[in-house]
Amino acid sequence: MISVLIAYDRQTATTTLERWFEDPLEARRERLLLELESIAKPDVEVVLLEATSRADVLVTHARYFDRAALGADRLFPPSAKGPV
Amino acid sequence: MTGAQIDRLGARLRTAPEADDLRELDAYRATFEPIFATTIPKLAAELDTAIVARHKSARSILDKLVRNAPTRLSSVQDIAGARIVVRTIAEQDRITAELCARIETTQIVDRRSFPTYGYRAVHVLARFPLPFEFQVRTLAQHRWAQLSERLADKHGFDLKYGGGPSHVVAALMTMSRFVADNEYLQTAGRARADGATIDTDEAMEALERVTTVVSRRTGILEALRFDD
Repeated sequence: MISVLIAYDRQTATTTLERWFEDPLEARRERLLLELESIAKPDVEVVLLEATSRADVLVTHARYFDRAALGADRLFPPSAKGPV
Repeated sequence: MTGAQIDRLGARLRTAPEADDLRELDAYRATFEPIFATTIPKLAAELDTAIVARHKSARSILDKLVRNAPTRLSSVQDIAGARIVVRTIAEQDRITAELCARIETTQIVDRRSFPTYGYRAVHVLARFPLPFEFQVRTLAQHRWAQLSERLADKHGFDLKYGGGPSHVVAALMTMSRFVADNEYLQTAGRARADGATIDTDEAMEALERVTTVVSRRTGILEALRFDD
């Protein structure tokens, strides 16, 4: 299993951190540290996902990774701020 | 942790959470770890499908406790969960049936026939015995849900419950009905007199087209901009 830790800013719809881990316990420790840092930031969501492959995560939680995967590349003009 | 301890933690999280409360919440979430480490990989292999597990974020838990007060933390069903995305309704039905055959299921919530403000999917609420929520979606249902999430980021969580700008709500409802109609053609079309059928690729292409048209007509494109 692999894990990915994400910090997502709802206000700007931007993924500000994306870290992949092979050790789920390390991922969970890092999540707690990030949540403690973000406690006073109501727009920041700290997300931890686990899967057997990175490709699976990119499909099931596309909104954190790829606007094109949403079919929304036309909806988010290149000039607009949005997730990378 | 006892149920009373969990609920006292929930009460603190709802008001003014401190660092120690987040550490305690982390300890509570850690009790679900055997499900992530053992049960989910085993199910993925048995069902021959990709399952992506997610730990509910502290922010989502806090928001839910505030939004649904006085809900107890111990009664929150989706502290831990997983998402499965498949191509067709038939595959969605198969995965749902196989999940129910392998695990103790407390409830199946089928939101395909009775969508929640446009949200369509099948949720399987399981017990391991800790509660665990599976979301089983078709690709088209998933595409709609991701778009809805993005719009909710922009306009607020109420959008998921029919709140927010009316033109955005209307656009989402139109797209949801379109997905439902396409899925009807996938499953029941062969029984129709005109023999109309549609496969997943055609359905996804059609969804892209209708998304573009609805966006133009309703101004949803503008609603999705994050630069204002």
